[in-house]
Amino acid sequence: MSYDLQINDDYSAPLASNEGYGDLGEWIDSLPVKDYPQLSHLWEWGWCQKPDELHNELTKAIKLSPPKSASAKETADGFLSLLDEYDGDLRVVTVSNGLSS
Amino acid sequence: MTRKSENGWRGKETENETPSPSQAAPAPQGDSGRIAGRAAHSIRSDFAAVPRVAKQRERYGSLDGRIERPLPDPQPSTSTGSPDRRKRDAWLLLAIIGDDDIGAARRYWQTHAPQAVAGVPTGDGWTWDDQKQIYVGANRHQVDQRDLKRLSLLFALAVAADLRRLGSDVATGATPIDEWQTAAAQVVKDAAITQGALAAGGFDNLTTELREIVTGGAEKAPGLAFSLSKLANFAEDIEQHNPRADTVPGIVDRMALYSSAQNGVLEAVKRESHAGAKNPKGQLLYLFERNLLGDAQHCRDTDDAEGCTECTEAGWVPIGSLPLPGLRSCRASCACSMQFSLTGPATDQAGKSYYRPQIIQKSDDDDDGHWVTINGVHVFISESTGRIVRGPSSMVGKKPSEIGKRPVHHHEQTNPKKPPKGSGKRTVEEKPTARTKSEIAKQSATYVGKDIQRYAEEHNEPQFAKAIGGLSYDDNEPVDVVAGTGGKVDHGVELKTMVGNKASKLTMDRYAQVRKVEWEREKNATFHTVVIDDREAYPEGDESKRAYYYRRGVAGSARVNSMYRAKNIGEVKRLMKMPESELPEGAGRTDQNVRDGKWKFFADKQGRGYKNSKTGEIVRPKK
Repeated sequence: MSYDLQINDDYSAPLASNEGYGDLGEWIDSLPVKDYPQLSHLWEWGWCQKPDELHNELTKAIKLSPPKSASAKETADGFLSLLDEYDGDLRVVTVSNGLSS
Repeated sequence: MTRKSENGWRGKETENETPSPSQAAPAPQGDSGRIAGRAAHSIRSDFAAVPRVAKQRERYGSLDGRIERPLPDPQPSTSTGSPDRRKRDAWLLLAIIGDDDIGAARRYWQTHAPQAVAGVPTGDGWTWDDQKQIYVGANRHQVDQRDLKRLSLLFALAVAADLRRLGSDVATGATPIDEWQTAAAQVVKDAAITQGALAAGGFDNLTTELREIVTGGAEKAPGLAFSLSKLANFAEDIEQHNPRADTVPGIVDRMALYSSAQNGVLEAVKRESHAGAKNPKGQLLYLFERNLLGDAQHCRDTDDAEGCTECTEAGWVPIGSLPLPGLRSCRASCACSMQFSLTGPATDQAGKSYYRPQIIQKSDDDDDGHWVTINGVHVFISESTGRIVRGPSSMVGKKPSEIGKRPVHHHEQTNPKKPPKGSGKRTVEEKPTARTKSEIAKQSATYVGKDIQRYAEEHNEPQFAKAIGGLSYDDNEPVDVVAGTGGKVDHGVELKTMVGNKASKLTMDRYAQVRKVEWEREKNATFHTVVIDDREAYPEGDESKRAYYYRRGVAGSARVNSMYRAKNIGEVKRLMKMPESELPEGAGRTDQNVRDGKWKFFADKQGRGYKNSKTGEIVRPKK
């Protein structure tokens, strides 16, 4: 089950495979919530309404507590690239498994 | 009084004997401060011409051997009449950096620097480009990080000359110990601040935070406080004629180390400055670092410190990962520098740290074998030799037992480290704002949280992969499960798990569809879309309540109930092997409009995308 990163209402890009996203989540679970609240919120609930903070937390986490698994590392780097690539205001970020009602 | 050397760097002319650095060079401890290059050589030659070395040797014996006559007792303090030195705590107060100290360091730099570059850290004719981390002159000349390092090292040589002179003065008894200590501390402080300023983009850029880095801690290098702390110990050693403080060359050499130690300050501030550099959108510009060996002997790992050799071998690593110069085996003698990059590992894709596993096409000379995961990395093990034949170069040729980890075979793939479903969330879901609700409502697909991902990973994907004799991909490939033989991929499966009652439709934009179609073409494999309907099985994972939906190729955006409903996973396996012409209704391809022509990946200012060679159509992630 692939996961997509959706930004606002006009951007959707492949983020990771199911296992790759799981590895990313495992890494996020290893981070302290108090230092990475938005990253934790996105992983646990699937959405984030403070994407600028999310971007900074992700950048900081990659720097200070880099994932040990190559898979999580690759997904985290790709995640950051997608956020960087978006050329508008970041308002809402969600993670989807490609299903809708 | 100053005099100018051949290359323009100025050192104070001394009335006292100063031994030649070449004669008095410290015994190498690793990455010593012995700097190569024409400029450094000319400085050394210049300093070597300082007179009266022979007289020094005559008075105290061989400069590079043991002392032949005892050193005179230290001169008494001019103020107290007895040998004196400040207490350690008093010295540490000196490590605090105020604006006056910045001014003093600025003057010290201007006294020592050649005219052409004197304005670099002072801002006279030079500006700092914070994004590129370089100095730009009024004449558009640039001083990049490599030039900066050169400036730093040459400045350190000039500082070392001053320190050697002071060392010689106290060793010969020409200067009372307290005066020596005060003078030496001031030179060390000026040097540390200046090295910090060079890295920070100038004296004016030494913010409170950066000054704290220059100061550092008393117990741990690099930093001014640590140097001053050591200087206090040095004073005690001189007083008591302790080893390495009981000969003129010993004292002079030890003094010079206080200059090379400030290399660590430069690198520490440099890292901080890079780590804080952002583009106009506020995004960080430097995320990776690597070590560059200086022109010196290189230290290796010891029991209590990492070596420069191993630091360099690590390649690009996330910024902040490596021990700074000064903290490694070679301590204050380190001549290494750090380099920073936004995309460092991108140039090292084949490197061991960022090896990306790939499924490799089977060739005639390939051995039979199987893929396993060791230390999180996919490797292919030869059936006949039991050795790794595909994977990171550091593992190829070894047996799994030699690496010390039991391989996880993909047909028995489990996720033992991951917590089970429902292990709890650590955050409380925020209340979405009206704007957030609006944005989410307009998004194409429904968001999912940890519980659904964990459920899919725990209950569905491993079982499915095992059932079809495949393996799960753990990176961002456009498929979830692949199956094949002998390292050749024959099938790729996009696997969806449906657990919510609301979810009944696949949503896939054209960019994602093109990516999957291209994967299928490149691998010469067959793509399948499988939806596992666990709406009744969730959250227990009761397989008896599970249903499967199948479609050949990329299903795109399709209603799940328009796909073929398989009786069980066995039927899914049969469908996967079935010729397209024989597929039942609902199982056949619907992706012909994406498969027309070839798609070529590109990246431009607007981001990434694919262009169709036949129709010219361009698809991007952004709508």
